[in-house]
Amino acid sequence: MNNPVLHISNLSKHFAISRKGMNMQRAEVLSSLHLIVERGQLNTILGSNGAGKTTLFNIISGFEECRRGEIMFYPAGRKPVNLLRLDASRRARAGIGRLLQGTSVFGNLNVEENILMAQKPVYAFGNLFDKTKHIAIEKKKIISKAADFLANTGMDYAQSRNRKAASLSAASQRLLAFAMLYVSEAELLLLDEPCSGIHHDQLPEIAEALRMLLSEQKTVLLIEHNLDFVSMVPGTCHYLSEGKIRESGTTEDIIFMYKSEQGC
Amino acid sequence: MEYFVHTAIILNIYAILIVSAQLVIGHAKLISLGQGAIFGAGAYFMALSMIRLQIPFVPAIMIAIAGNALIGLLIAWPSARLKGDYFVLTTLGFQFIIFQLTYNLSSVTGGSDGLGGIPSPRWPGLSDESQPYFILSLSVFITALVFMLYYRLLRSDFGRNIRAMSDNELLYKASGRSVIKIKSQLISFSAATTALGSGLYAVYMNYLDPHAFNLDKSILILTGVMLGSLTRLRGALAGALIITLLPEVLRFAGLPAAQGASLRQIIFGAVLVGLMFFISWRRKKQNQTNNNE
Repeated sequence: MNNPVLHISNLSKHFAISRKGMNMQRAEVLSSLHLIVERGQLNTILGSNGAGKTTLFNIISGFEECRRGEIMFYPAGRKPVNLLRLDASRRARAGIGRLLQGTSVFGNLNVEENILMAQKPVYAFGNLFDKTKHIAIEKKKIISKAADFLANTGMDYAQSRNRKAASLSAASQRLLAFAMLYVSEAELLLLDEPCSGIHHDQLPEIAEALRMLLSEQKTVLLIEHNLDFVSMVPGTCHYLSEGKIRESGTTEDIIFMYKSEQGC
Repeated sequence: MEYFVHTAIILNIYAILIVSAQLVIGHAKLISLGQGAIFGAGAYFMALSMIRLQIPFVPAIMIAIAGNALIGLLIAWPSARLKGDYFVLTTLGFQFIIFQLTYNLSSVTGGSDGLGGIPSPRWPGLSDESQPYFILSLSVFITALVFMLYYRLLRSDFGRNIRAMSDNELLYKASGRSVIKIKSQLISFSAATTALGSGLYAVYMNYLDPHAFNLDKSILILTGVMLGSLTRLRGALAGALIITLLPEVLRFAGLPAAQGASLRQIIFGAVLVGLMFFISWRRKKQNQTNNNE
């Protein structure tokens, strides 16, 4: 098993915090982090609050700058790229998908428009008159694929297509965000706490959505605090602490380790 | 009758300016204080190509559109990287730069003397008395064209992307689109359609005064967008109606011109303040009903 999709090496990141007086202090968030993500698998990252999990995701997505280290991304059938050399939107086009913490849908857009945002961007004034035929066909394909996905997770697309995403429940918004990642061409998906704000009873639906992403040959990197959810979706697990991946192993082992470290 | 024709033409010009500004201010949520300068730039492009290059109306308006699209890109180049207050101040900076250029570059723009002798387009065989009606029909035609263009635009992928970008920039980037690119495109597009209003203004007034395109004009356009609607096309028309007709109403109220002008500004200001309270009150109410659902 040696087919990485992402190879992070020597990644370091610190923030400058100003304290009383003039001297700036450095807060080390990540220090020479190494991580290899195998293709087509679920990789969960566990770690206490402030361990740098979201910072790591923001660096991979390009929302936060980082100059030290290297993040090699190996898209299927294309040349590998060092992500740190690209800006955020180019990384997304290269195949990095992202589920943001909290709201990860466009609240002012309706459900259908949200799904269309997952389509690969079309430039040249964004197809001003919708005349290009192959784009229209592509749109139909994407929408029917997303509708199937939503139907499988218990959401009726036909009923909600014209509703503003902001008016959906938290769980439906999350499922919509999953549907957007599902129909996108992204190969590596970074899911930042998909269960935050979701009722316990609805966790199986989110887990099912995640399994569907994996069945679509997508690689998933997951951050989640809800251990019930993490044990629902077994895979490779990593324990992030003090800016490093301290331990990697099966989900069961790492949850055990995490629990004993947290003292509960 | 002449008076009604005059008001109707001005109304059409403001409708074009406001619907163009609406794209930037309402849909993209970028408060721009440079719309007056963009309006002025288009008018000077139009006037200069008609006077100095002796070009007829249609190609001249094409030049004004192209020139304004470039001005839009120039404004967007630094400001698209900024948002919120920083965007407002950058556009304000461009407002001053363009005003000073038109005011002080006397050899080209006529400076404070203004620029006169802009020829009006004429329909062959039409008498002098019918000329204002011709300009009115032309302005109605162009305004309708601009509104139709925006109607299509806002329902296209481009319109959807603009709304998505203003909704959540981070998620917009994560979907593989460039925020700077779409901001540049929309600011440039808005400037290009503003040029149609500028062109009409230039050939209708036959004379340009740099003071017609100062910060007051930018604020007036911004007020028009706020009073009309941030996102609805008919709101742009309503905004144009308000800012064109309010001074006329005050004129008939029998006030002297000087007081009427200041009173107009006071009324605009008061209406704007009231409207902001109304909008925030309505939003609060909407949030409450959403939470109760």
